[in-house]
Amino acid sequence: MTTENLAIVRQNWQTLSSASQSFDVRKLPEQPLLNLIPQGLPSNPSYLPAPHEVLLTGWHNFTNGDPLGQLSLFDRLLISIRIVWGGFLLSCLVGVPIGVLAGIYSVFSKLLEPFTDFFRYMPAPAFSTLLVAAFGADDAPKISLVFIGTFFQMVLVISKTTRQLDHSLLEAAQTLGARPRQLFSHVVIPGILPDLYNDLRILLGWSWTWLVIAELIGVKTGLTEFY
Amino acid sequence: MRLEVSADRADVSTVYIAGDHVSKEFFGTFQEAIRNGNNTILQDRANGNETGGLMTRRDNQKKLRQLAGLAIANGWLRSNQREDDSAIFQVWKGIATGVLVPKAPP
Repeated sequence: MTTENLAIVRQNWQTLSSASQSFDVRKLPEQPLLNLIPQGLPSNPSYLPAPHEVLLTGWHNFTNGDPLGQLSLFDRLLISIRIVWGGFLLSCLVGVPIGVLAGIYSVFSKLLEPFTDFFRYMPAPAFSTLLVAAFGADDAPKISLVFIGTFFQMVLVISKTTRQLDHSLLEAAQTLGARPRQLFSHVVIPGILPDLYNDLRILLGWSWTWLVIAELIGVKTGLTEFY
Repeated sequence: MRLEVSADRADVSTVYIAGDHVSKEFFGTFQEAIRNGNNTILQDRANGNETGGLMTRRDNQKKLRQLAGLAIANGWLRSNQREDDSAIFQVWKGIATGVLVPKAPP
């Protein structure tokens, strides 16, 4: 701290301590305190640093926190991964069974897909204020936003994948006497697994696109907060 | 320059916080503007023209928090105590009474 600021701290403390020795917002002095004089560290060249400095700073930021109390990039990455996977897994937990059911049974398809098709066009960020009001300002609204952004697409994509299962496989199983439950567990699920895996891979990428918006709502966290 | 301590200027709406980067040329102007603001406060105080009230108390609360970044850098506060006014108040007391000794600038 500069001597100039040290003098200001002492001067302000005289004013503060005359009102109260401990903090009480109602006992703060009504006369204006002096501002601390801006203090900074040289950090040039700030616009075009040398490549090795970029690499070294990148590694430093990745492994170490900031002296001003910021988390390291690695810690932020973990927070972001937790939010993306939280929303994505929650979406899988609900979306995959619904998608498969809608793909197999036309009654589910007719019941769910028109609404899902409508809701998937609603921009997920429009729900952000509502989500913060409902779930607070921490991770829950962020996970919910990733869920909303992924879930509706997931239902439609997976129902279409299920519908595209080769009918000859179903017919062969039925010819061999498979019951509906056996068709589901021995033919449909194993039959769609490769495409389901591919769909989920693409939908996980979709979840990451919602991350930036998700991390901006409520308390900024994760990679988005990094500066 | 990377700001460790920042302050609000009454004459401009741009706000810089600890951690922001400003150019070396601007840094001097920024410091001078704050010094001028402080001189005005001291002159008003000497002439008995100080204005007070609820707004001033709120401003004072913000001024107390100007020390938060520096206190975290010195290890006196945790990063989540940036708005813990009671803890920040104790840091002001500690520095003023010499119990806490901040690192000298490089």
